[in-house]
Amino acid sequence: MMKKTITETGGDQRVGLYLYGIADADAQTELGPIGIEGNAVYTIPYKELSAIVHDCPLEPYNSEDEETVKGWVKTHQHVLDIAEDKFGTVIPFGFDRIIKPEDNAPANEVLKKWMAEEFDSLMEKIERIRGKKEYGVQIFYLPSVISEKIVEECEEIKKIKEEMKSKGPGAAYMYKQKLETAIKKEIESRMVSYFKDFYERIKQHVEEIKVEKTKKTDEKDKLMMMNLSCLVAEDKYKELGAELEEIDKEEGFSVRFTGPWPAYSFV
Amino acid sequence: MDPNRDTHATLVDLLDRILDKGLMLNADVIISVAGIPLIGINLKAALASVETMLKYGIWEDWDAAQRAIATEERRRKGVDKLPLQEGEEIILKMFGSHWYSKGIYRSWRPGHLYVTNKRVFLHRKEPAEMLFEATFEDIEGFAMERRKNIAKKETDYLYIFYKSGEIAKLHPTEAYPVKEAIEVRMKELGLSLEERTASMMDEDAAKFLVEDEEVVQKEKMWYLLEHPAPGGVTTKTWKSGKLYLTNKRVCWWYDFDECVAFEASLEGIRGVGIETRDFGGMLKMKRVLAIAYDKGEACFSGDEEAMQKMEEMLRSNVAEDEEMDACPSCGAKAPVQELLGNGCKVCGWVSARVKKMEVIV
Repeated sequence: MMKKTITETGGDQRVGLYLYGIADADAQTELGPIGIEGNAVYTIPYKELSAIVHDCPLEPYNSEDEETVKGWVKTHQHVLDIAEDKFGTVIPFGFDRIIKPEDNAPANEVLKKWMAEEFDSLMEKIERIRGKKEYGVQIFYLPSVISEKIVEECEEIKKIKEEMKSKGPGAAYMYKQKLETAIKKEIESRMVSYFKDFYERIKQHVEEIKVEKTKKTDEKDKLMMMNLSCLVAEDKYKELGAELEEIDKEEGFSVRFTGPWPAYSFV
Repeated sequence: MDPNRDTHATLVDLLDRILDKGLMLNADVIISVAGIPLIGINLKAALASVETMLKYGIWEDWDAAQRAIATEERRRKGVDKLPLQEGEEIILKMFGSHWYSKGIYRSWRPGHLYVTNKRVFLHRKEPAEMLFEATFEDIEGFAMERRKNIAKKETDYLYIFYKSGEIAKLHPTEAYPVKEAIEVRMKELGLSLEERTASMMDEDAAKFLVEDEEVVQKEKMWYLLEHPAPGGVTTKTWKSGKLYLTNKRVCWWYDFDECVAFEASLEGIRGVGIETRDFGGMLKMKRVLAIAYDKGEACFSGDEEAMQKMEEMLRSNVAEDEEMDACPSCGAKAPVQELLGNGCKVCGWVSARVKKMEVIV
């Protein structure tokens, strides 16, 4: 790769700085044209920290085309992967965080000023995530399987079912409703104990845990019951994987284990 | 089960993180993206959270319920409880941080600083950890130091000296009340305290100072460190650290590697000066403090004020005596600068460079 000299573009009033992350390194270096839309990524050091950036126009990356956005997001992640390889700990930023110049200061000055003001808190964040990676853990359940299980196991529901058989068709509708309510109640209480159980089991293997919002799934009959972001020590993810495998084996549940990601959820 | 990050399903998880999370910046420094539809409709749908799961049971706000359970679990496990000893009472509580240093792992670790009737400690809630702890019996004395932090605000640092010789560095929101609380309690317990001075607190200098060596001046400075790169080339990088002038030498402490990466004896120093140099790239016209010494030249950079102070101290501590050399023609001894600039007074020799200049003139 040809070495391109860093020009002072970051000092131009018309140039913004697209921010990928803050690395725990006092390096002034170039990472090559690996950025979004092939931009040259480089670092701007301040004390023991360096911001990973590329020069960009003063407007956010924006597109209605799904594939384009996906490509940008993947590139953003790729730059952070390379930065982590090179520098170790990196505080990740989300997509489209662009530093703008101020009246009298170019974007690189604004960035350095921000890093100076936030220095202590940035160092704290670095320490919080040092030697750790983020993993996503999503647990799904199959309502049909769970409710079948409940019908088999729960005495109260069995009783309603028996009564239903002996009644005439006129009362069937009312009983059906009664049955549904009973199943619903039972699922609720079971979900709470499943949640507690899974949460405790996962917690043993992670440094920090965040309960995220549950999301829609692609599969119709499968619902997400837990969505966790876990901060895991580098040597511990296998333990976590083994625990998740046990949960995955349980009837009516399945697990999705994603990562390692930069610690997006813990900064 | 192995974690996965390259499938369609995990892309959703990644999008979720990159689009919604990561470190936040104050809105006034970034280009605002609020109100701009950043991502395609389908993508948004994929990220949408499940608001209701009523059909299959599970409460309307299952997410809130989950968080409540998680908090409850933590409390039940006693994670949020402060590990106080029996009969221990809190006298003072304040936000603060402790300087943790072990090998290359160094940082300020934040938590709550407590002064109790038994000890001083700094505790972090999540994840729960005792970051620093000292019983009054272990404390020999302490010192305060007022320093400008990076944002140029003056704050007080509190140093606690242990009887064992170790030093703990604390940075409470307000250092005086902490110091006072400790003093009062130690007096009550009949323990004596020594007031120390700030000069004893340079932990880095303590690692390299030899016997009879004392720090005369210390400034935070960047150093243009030369290091070999592949292919036999040397690259130069600015590294952060501290430049020390002691009664024996000038040396630069490399903060990251925790070692002395440059040193020159006072006798070896040939000259110092502050000048503007062009290093190309982003470092056009950078102000540097250049030190010429017997093995070459070293470049430092820092606050103009710091550079001037250091230059002044260097000048007054280093006798900038003129280097003598022999005239290449007749061998008469004369100061180098005079020989090169004006030629030899004895035989009339002048350097090739001066000759050339004369021709031009």
